[in-house]
Amino acid sequence: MTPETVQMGGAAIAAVLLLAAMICAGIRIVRGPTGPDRVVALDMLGILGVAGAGMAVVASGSAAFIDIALGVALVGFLAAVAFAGFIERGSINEEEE
Amino acid sequence: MMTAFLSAFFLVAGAALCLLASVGVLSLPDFFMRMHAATKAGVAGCGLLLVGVAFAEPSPGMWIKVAIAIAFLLLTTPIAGHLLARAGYVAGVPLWGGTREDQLKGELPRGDFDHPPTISPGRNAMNPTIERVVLGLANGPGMENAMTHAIELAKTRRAELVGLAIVDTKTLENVGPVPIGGNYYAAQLRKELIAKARHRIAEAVQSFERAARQAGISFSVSVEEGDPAPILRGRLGQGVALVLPCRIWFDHGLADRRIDPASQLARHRIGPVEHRDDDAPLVVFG
Repeated sequence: MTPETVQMGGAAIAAVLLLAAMICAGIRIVRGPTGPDRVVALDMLGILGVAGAGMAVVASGSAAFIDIALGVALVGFLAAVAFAGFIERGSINEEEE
Repeated sequence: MMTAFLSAFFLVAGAALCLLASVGVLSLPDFFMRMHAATKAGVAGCGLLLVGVAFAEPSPGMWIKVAIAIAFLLLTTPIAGHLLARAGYVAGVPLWGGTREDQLKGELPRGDFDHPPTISPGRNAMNPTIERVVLGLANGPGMENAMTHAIELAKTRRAELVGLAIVDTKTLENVGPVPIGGNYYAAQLRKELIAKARHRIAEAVQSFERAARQAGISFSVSVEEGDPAPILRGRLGQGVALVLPCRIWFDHGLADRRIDPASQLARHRIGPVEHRDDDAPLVVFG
């Protein structure tokens, strides 16, 4: 067992686990039942996207993908904040009616 | 040599934590629990995985970027989680049926969610403290069912039984567009409708009193006039079960259109409503 096979084996297992995690989050997005539930699942999927970009570094050997991980983390955070604003404001507008 | 093993370890550990977080998001029962799984375990898993990545492709630049990414995740995800939780609470996302304590109650405004409220199967069993059963008394189809249900509920839970008769003056006074010179007749019509409604209420109250006496249960009756929704909401509270007939609203069949009680409750956001089948009464737990 060479170090390379250990590393690649670990990366393969991690990739499968990540895929399973993404499927779980995807099922929650489809199921809902409320909008906020979907947003949380989307947030989770964003975090998994960061992890996925990290896996791409290992798989391709190109360090450039770690920049993508940073970008995905940024976008995921902004999306979560924006959605939180929508949810909160939407509910307050309904209250005022 | 060593870095390969470390890398494999951190990659698998991180991915496993990520999977754990996702399983939590998928299977925990309410929004707030899901959010906590996503933010805490998700960040821990992703951070570990990124450390594994840095071990796989070690270079100073890589370590710095990974450190920045982890620091960023650690800073932002809790903020995003707090914002989402607050927004969800303010929007009125339902709590899990087994929740015992809501410490934010009274601290934050809380709306009601639009979608039909889901009743978790444990709700009835976990909410044994019904101290008062309020039965909405209307005169029309479905009243019998509601009456027997309310009396049974009050009997089995040893709760106080209250018959609440309402004249929906808001609906009955709305007699439609009035032509010029028709005000007098419109006023007559309103008076007549409300008088009729009072008659029908009297009948409903009588039959309620009969049924309750037959069941040998102590009860009280109150009659109110006005807009039913705020009256009903005012009656709800901790330990109160509101039982309403499913086919008749408090216009007692006098309005010129059929008013569906379930949609009235939904429109005024009174819930959660339990409605087991077509003929069963509507039950609202306070």
